Amino acid sequence: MRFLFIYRKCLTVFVLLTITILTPCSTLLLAQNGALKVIGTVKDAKGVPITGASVKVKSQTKGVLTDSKGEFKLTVQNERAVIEISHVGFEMQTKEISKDRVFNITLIATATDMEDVIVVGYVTQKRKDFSTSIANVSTKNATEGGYSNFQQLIGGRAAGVMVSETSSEPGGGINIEVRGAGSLSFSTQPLYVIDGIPFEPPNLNLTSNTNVGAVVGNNVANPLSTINPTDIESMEILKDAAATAVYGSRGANGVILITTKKGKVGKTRVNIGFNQAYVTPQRFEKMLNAKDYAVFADEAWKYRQYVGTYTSATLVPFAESEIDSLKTYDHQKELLRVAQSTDANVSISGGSPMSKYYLSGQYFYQPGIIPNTSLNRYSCKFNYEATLSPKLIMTANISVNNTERNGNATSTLIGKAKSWAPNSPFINPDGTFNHLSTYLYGYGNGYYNDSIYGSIYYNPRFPISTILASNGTTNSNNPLIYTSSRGVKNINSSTQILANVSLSYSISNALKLTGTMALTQFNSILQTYIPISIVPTFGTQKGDASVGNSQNRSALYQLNLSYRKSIRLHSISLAAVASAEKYTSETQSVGSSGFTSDITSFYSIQSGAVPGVPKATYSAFQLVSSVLQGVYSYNGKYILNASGRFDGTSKFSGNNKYGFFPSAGLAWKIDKEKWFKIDKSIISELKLRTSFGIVGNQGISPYSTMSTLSSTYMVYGNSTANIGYYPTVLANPALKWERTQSFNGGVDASILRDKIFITIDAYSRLTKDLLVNVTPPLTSGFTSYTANLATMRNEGVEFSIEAKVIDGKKFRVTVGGNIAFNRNLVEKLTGAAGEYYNPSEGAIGTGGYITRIEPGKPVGQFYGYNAIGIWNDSTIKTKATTFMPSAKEGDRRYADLNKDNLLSDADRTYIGSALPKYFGGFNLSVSYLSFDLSSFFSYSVGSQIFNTYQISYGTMSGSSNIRKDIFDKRYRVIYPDTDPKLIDAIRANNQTTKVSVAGSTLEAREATDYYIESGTFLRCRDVTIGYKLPNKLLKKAGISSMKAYINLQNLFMVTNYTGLNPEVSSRGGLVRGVDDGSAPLSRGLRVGFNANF
Amino acid sequence: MLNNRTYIICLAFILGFSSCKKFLQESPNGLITNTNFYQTDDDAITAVNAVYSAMRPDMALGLPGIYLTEMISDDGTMSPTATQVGERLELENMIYSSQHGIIKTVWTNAYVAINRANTVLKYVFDSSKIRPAIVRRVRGEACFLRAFNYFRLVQLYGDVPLVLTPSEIGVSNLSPSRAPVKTVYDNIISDLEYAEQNLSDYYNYNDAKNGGRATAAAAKALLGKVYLTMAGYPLNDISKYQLAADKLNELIVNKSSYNLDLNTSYSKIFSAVTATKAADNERIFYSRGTSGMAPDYQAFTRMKSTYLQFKYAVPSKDFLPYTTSSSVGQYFPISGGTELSSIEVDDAITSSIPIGFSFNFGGVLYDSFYMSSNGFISFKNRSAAAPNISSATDPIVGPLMDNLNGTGGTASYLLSGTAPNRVLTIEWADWRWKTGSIVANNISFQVQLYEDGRIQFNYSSSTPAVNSAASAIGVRYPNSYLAFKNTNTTGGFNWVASNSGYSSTVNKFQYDNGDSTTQLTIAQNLRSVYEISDARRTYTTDFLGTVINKYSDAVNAGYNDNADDFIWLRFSDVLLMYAEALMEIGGTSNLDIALATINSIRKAHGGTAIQDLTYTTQDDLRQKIRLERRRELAFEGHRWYDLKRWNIIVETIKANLSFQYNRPQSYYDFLNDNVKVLPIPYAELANNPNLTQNPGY
Repeated sequence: MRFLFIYRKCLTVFVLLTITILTPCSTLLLAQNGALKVIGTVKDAKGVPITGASVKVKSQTKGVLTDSKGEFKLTVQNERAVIEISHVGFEMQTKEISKDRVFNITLIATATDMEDVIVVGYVTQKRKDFSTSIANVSTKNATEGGYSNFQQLIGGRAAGVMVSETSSEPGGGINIEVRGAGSLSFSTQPLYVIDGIPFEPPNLNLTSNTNVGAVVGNNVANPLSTINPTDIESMEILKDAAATAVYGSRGANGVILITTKKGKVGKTRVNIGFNQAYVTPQRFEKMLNAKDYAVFADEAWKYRQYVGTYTSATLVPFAESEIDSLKTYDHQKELLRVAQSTDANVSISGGSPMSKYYLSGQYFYQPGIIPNTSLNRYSCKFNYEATLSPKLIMTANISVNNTERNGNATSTLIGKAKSWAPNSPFINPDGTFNHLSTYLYGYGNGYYNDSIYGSIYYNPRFPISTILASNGTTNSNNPLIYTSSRGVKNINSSTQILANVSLSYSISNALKLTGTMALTQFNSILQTYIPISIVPTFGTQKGDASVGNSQNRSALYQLNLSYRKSIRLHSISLAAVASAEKYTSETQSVGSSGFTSDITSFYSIQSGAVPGVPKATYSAFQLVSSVLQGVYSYNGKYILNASGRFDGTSKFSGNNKYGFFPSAGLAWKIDKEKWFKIDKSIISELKLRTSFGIVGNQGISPYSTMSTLSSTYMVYGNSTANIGYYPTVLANPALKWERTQSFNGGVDASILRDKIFITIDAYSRLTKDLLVNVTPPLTSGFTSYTANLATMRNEGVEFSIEAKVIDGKKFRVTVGGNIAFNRNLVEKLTGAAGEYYNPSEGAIGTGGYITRIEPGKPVGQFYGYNAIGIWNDSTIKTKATTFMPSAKEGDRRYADLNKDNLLSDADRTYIGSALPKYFGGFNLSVSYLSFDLSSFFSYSVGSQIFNTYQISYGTMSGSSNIRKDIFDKRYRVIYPDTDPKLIDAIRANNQTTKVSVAGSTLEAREATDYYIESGTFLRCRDVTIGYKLPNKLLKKAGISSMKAYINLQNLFMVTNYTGLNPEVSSRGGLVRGVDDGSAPLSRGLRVGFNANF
Repeated sequence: MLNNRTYIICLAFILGFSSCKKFLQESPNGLITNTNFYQTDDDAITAVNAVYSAMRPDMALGLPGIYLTEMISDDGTMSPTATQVGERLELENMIYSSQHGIIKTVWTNAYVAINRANTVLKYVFDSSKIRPAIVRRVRGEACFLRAFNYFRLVQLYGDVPLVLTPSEIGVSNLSPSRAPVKTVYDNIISDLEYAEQNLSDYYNYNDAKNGGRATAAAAKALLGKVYLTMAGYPLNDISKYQLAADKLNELIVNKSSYNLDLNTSYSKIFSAVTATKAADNERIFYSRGTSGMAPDYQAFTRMKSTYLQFKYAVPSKDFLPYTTSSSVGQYFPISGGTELSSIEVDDAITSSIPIGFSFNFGGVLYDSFYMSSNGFISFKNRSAAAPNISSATDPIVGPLMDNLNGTGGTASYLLSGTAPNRVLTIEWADWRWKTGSIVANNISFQVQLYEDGRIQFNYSSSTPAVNSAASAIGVRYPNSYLAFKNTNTTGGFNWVASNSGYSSTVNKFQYDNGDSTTQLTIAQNLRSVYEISDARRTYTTDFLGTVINKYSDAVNAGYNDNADDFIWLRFSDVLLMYAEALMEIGGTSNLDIALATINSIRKAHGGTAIQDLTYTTQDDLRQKIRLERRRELAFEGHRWYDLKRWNIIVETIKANLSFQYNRPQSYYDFLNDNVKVLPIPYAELANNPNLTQNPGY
């Protein structure tokens, strides 16, 4: 293994370097002869003695460390000697010996210990000195225990950062997009950097090996759900390229910096947090009750007879007399439940100047609102920093998480519950699963051909024994099969270890060398089992087990040489970094079916009679980088940021492996200028910023530039498989990075004695060489290849404000808000004239596309037919025979845009946009004495949603249940025997399509504006009411502070959208705003406390 | 770029890497790349295996190609009880657009196979590492499979892009334009000529590594089919009839060397039993059903679920031997008929009585009948009286088969009307309907035989009800029967036709008002494809509808496990094509050979009960060969191509839809010559500016 060899070599070098670094340190500790003895104490500004501060004679290597009282003794050669007193986190001081022999020294803390500094890239910067657009996400609530999940923490807090919670499932997905879509075919997700280490969320989709995949919606946990939010000290979102260019080839979609908590010098602090949450679904949809449903079914039956498709013998309608006695089952309520989750965490932190630590542990249990879905997380974290010598500091950050996610995909189950006939229960009277999802003969995949009736359904006419007889042998869509303990099992357990250790040596006061090694291991196992009682859709083997493993490893080696110096008005920070990274991903899976007993399930794959084909995959990529980053500040007035990064990646070939990503940013603090005459009480701070940078995106799969072959099987003469190899990839050797260049200009201002803080940013991002998954002509034999073709621009303005409206001692009110406008434009696809691209993921029905990408238009545009109502009794008569030739009265009518009397592709047009006009969030906090209330709202205005939900639950197919409002407006066909008195009233109400022959589905043209709805919404994301217990009371219990709180999540939502959640998942960068079944968000009530000792 | 590298090298130096280039090299451990493949015999064979497996998606999905050829044609239709997926309904109703998913799938799958074949042909060539014999065989198979797929494409879509090299970015043209039909055919012919010269004559069915591969016989059969097709619409190159006849005759003359022959049992061709399949010599090119294997290997054919379970395609009305209906009407007793007093007793049957015209019953013409006191007539002599017909195999018409007694009743018949609309009415008047030992009430009922083949049962009142529920009502053809059941248990009638049993729960024939009567009509379907005794009638009819059971796999339970092979080319097809070619060439000797050829298939597969055909003119024989082809190859995915070749597809589809939906043919006037080719898939036009759409789409 070549890499292993290099790896060892690298490690050797690393160790050698460390030893080299250590050598001077050890010599430093050796005592030396001298003439004069001086003594002294070193304290901080508060008078607390500093242990381990280094005291040495200038330009010599010898020195001593202060003891636990902060005292030192040192021998110097003569009175001309100058001693230097330094300690990490403090500004170094120098003292001339002259006559003094006793020194009382007070060290001033350096900026690095102050809260408003942050490591961006490889250089520590003050927040106030940023010349780039960086948004801070408040983690206060998380610290106090308000959130249990990373998803909740980040939602909608920063201007220009669009966060969509795509699922309410425990551990479910999240989509974050910074300043609009940055990529077309590839990920638009930002890069996460945890404590300086890039975190690549592993792809876990490969691990299922079930023979009957169609039955189980395999669900693996979102890797970010493994992070314990209470461990997060601060979170920054780097938005512009000047800030992200230092992350080079991975920075194009923005960077989210997560800094975890570190120990602080001082007494040991213990923090305990505990909360309980009660979660319910935020919305239900109103479906038909059994009575309406029976009417619906009978109308379908009547229509069927009318058009002559069925004879009376093949179907039994509901009799009028029995309709009233039908029992209604509210399947949504039956399926969903109130879930009670528990979050307990403890952290201990503290330290001496010599060693600081932070240790935390969390237990988090979150059951889903659907039974048998849950997330169970144990996590622990240990951050440690030790000063080995005045010049040598070691840090270690280690976190280990264990997450078990249980359950199947929620959205499809809710969908099944909704479409399940309301007169048909989930559970039969004998306790078995019912399989009849519709009343109809031949439906629900399960039916019973009774010799007399031909069909059985839950209807008073049929005895229960007959119904049960129909239930034995069929596969089912019954959602309880996936949610009950005797149902389908789907468990994803993962263990994640993030560890990084670094050793930092101060070569001189200004120069520091840091070596870092970071290892990440993400092991995941996906276990699924379909019990014998459920007959799978494909194959005849009952009982199906699968186990899939994945191992994702990453290793990073990094050397950072940093220089930091202030000379009078000039201060400079520089870092030169070299790093190498390797990411490896492997999966293995096995499966079998044909079980005779459910007892062992996936724990005993060998018990299945028919083994599946075992599978294994391997993929790896490497990245080598060198970075130069610097910040120069003159008199705190002018700040210049610059960085350059060279990346080399294994994913591309030839010269395309290497890329250079530069950036520069300039900030001007106008308020520091002498001529700036405005009273400080009006404007206390005013900063102008501008920046430019180039970043890349390399989010393609490894080996994309190679023509690879995959194996397949062919069976000839007997039942043995013969292997076949075929080309799988239409390889494009010319692939290279996507390059985004971005300009940013901004203003930060602090007004009215810091009561109001305003940030305004404007940006323009131009992404070239966009990697696009191009659908080649199918005559190539391939359905996709990757090429750098497109150009896209994002431009926008962001505005955020934070105001302390009332800032009294007892009573405080703070309001804040942000708003972002982004305009997206696809400037070029391949460059061919008149071209456009239909992302196939958007297919509606079959063969129809719902989105189109075309130069000159933004992404996320819906494209389809204009629906113009219904063919009614009069329009159908005047219709051209060639136009929709099979249309009947009550069918949907489409506009013939080109007036050629044919409904063809040429009649399609742009019918809506999934992009919001603006979006953001706002918050309101009030505190009075010990009480405080904080609330947070997010909103999005002007986007549209293609509601495929509505297709599923609004199609009058006369078999599965549908939405009440659609039913009420349905087109009722006027039959010859219709009461003439009612005809006018019926026609007036006829708005949606007619109840049609059961099972008839959409025509491919249902990519129509009929299903497009406004996606504008205002959501109250959370409200927290807290109470700080009085200190006097707590002191007696030995508690230094304690807070109790009630937190309400997703309390309400204001929207006209008829689906469950207007924050629909975007299916990647191309197909946006298509709601194909997102689950309702959960509404939660959380009660808890947080105590410090 | 040089600068970048310089920096990276500096960096590499810092980290002590000997070579950054090596570090950034990709190692696709789990994958094979085309630079290290195609080196050995096994590489070549596995590469061509993948071409066969490219045909698998068509199979695994229940044969999208079958949907096209069966659903659009007049053979298959959608079952009203099947999941009515819109797309299939679109094919059935001829309202598909260029966005149709199956039309795209068939196109895509064909080109995937073609690209794989092209890859084989590019990389497997005479080299020192692969044995020459393997090279020739593998190339021959790739040529055959490429030709096979182009042949489907050119028939379905007309002009299609002719791609003959593997797709590689920067090397090949990914946006080809359409080649004329003729050019595509020329390439198909040259591929097949290479294949027939370089492939083995045949492989044993059970040959684990080769059974089912393309053979020289397959290449010849396909070449014959290609010539025959070129001779028909749209190329109309009639010179190809002779080439077709000659090529197909090579197989017929040398059938033993190709291990080919007619299977003497039609049903055994479609058996799922391995031994039976192995013994079948009809197979020329087929895809193997792979029941019982792990799902990844499996599902070459899903025909059973396509035809039987999901009923995606069922026989059109053309295949039904009869249609039934029931109604309520008035009962008109015979007046002035001929009385048959010999059966006005218990358990008696008459001697032969003339019908008065030739009555077509089950495809056989009868001139006389026999009337029984037990409520039926027979067309064969049943002088040994049998009260119950359940053991009989004779042609019988039974309006009320029960243990009846004619004592006191009147049996008579009457011929009325003028030719060709004559009707024979046979009446049992005041007949005793007894149960057990009890002599119960009297009933009157009639059978009417219409000269057009219709049969009608009429019943008079019977008061009060009898106690018996056991009676049988229906007809029996020589090897098929049709029974009526009353599914109403309380008053009134709800007749359903069934072939699953005779017994019925009828205990009276009276409506509440006392005057009306129930009438059952059984009409012969004069369009019916099969003679009633044809053993090739591989579908079953019951009251749930008619299903195709040609691929019914009786071995494996369930519908998704299918050990039936799907046969693309078989010997009967070769014989039928040979007959067609000779017939089209014309000349008495050719016509006679053609006739003898189809008669040989009829005898072997239709059974001894069906008669040999004769012909009068060339066109008469043409129609007979076409009908015979439809009978022999129904539901095997040939019909659409046949109709197109004969250039009768538009009128046939129109007539079929009009018959199917009982609408005037003018309703389907929107169908025109455009339907002779499918649309180029919409997605394809969107992605390839060099393509044009077929007219009308």
